[in-house]
Amino acid sequence: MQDLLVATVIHDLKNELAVLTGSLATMTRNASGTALESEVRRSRAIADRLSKNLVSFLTIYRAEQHGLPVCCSDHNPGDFLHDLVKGQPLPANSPSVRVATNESVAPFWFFDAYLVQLAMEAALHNALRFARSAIDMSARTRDGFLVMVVEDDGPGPGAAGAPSTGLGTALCSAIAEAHRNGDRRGKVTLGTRPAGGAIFEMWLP
Amino acid sequence: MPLAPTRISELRSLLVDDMRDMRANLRNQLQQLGIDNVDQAQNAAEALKLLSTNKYDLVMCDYNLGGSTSGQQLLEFLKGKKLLPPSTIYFMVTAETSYQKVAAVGEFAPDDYLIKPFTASSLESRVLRQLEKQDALAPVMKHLSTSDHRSVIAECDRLIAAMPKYSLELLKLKAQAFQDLGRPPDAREVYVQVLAIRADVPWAQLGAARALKASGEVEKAKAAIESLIEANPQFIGAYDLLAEVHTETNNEDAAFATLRQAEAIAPSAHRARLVGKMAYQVGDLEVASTALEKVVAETRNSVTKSFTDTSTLSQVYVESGEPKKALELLKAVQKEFAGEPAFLAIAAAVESRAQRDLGNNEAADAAIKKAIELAPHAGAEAALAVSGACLAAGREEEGAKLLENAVRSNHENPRLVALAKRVLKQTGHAAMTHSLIDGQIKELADMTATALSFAKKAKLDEAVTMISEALAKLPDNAGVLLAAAQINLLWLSQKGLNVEFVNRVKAYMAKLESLMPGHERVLKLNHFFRETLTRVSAAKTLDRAAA
Repeated sequence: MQDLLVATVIHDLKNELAVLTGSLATMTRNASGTALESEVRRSRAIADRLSKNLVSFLTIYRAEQHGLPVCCSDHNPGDFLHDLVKGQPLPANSPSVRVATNESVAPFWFFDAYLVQLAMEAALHNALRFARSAIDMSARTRDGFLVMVVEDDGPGPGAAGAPSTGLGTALCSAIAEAHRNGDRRGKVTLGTRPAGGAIFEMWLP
Repeated sequence: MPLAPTRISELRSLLVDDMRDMRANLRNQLQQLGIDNVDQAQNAAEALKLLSTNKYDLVMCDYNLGGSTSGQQLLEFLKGKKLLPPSTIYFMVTAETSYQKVAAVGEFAPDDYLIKPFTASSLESRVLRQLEKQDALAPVMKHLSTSDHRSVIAECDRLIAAMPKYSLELLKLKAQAFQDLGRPPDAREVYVQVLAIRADVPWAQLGAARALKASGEVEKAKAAIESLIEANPQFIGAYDLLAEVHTETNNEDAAFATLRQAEAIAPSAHRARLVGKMAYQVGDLEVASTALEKVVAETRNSVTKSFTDTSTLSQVYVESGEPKKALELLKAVQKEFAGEPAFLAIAAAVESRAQRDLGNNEAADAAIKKAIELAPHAGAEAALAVSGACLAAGREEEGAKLLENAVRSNHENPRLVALAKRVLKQTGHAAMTHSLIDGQIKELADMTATALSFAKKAKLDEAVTMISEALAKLPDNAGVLLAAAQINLLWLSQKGLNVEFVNRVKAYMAKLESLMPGHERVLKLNHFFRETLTRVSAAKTLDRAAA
């Protein structure tokens, strides 16, 4: 009962926040070139992140209650990542986010674009907290999986720093594992880049 | 993306949402993209009105429209009635809690789902992707608009190589083109190709099953659909196809159960209509009246209104011993459907039964006279209703004649045959079933089969004579016409070009197309006809050259 109450409250909060995010988006445009610009942009990025955190929480909550139904259709991985990054409101001084798609990546792949976008946004936000100057996102096909990658040039996984609730990781795992193709299922991995920094991979069958 | 930003601002748009705040919010987002030409509708009926008078480039429709029609039902209706040009981008707006449920149901999918809340920027990306795709697929759409299916197939093959990211969409279009050409085995091959890429693509599984059914492999088709439904119990298109298969194999009860299942999953006026008619056909009058009352009420002010709902409901009432209700219902709509010959004939038939039940024999006699007069111009289903009224009134000879004729011209239509049997049973004349229906069907089937077996044994002249005799008796029977066209075509391909035969086949085909528009078997024959003509003309040219 208590869980349900929490979920209901969060659902309402999320809707209110969506309205706030919309207003801040309008303000960002109107404040362009004024002294308020960076403040408004920062507020918008925070509101956006809060809103996504709430959606993440609700998604995990529902996944635990009823499982996570996945609705796959074909998407071009490169287009998907480009649009995802384009849609992220980033604060003024944020690290740069680059998207590269490997030439050999499949021209289309089956996944639930809504869920995978939630997961990849969570991974991107996590990287934004640790990156020093740049984040690289990419997609490739390997061993019959589509692998979407987020790399940052931060201190690498396990480093002390900004505290984490583990919400993002739980969300990404739940979404990856809900993707199945025959008897294979998706997974996520987090490791250290050879050049330092963290590398997050989402494997989709 | 190489797209001018002005193009997006020129999109004429329609917003469909029952909540005013949501519409204002969406409108605001469109304005942020520079889109000012925006119309709004607050329910499906308003949207339909606007869509039938204006051409929109972008439609954003909420799934939940408050009333009885959802955004998905509106989309299905629009696609079914071809009111949505392929150039219109249709976005379904849903809450994140319902989108998987929504997305799982549809065979008619929107171009994309927008899950609330979304930003103007993500809306822009989605629109740009759709415009990019439209540009890429434009050559295919051009051929599709002129029904040039061969060119559609060639263009799909070219684009799959040039723009592989659209492969799935292109394969879907290619398979559909094969279907439209009446070549189900080729269509099936394309679907199988998709399933080799990914085994669980529901539309490809459904397409493969449909192609199996069209190739006559009904049992295999049935097994394929049943396993598709097991994996995707929400996938509504699969139920429709399964019901068709059951109907084709004369398994009425199973078809009825399947339609009821589908209605439970995605209730709509359209589904209630299918359930109501089938319930009447199998004699479940209680379910029939509940379903049809719902349809009549829901479609009262809608373009989806159909006189057959009311006429069938009036039959249901009179057969369940509620003559007053039947008469009231008919009285309420008599002006509205005054131009429909089938409605008038059925209404007169029902009225005569109702008046007789109420003891008003004079009124009953007047009504049945009118019904008999109207019957010849009212189509087979109305003829059966009139036949039922005659049989119920003890006018057995007239009733039997009407029924016999209706069955003769439609012995290949399982629904009609089932309705005819029901008329006999319901009026206490089940004993006549053999002489009027089964015997007829057998005689006809025998004649056609004999003609076809002559053709198989290369006795083509005998086959042509036999089938012409059958056709003289039954000029409007689809089954005989199909066999006649086929036999004459075989004659042409064996014996060479002959104008008389060509014209005969042309006449058969024209009749078939009006009897069974768009039917796979007719399409297939048309294709065979064109091929035969090309071949025999070429042979004739060669003969001349040799001489």
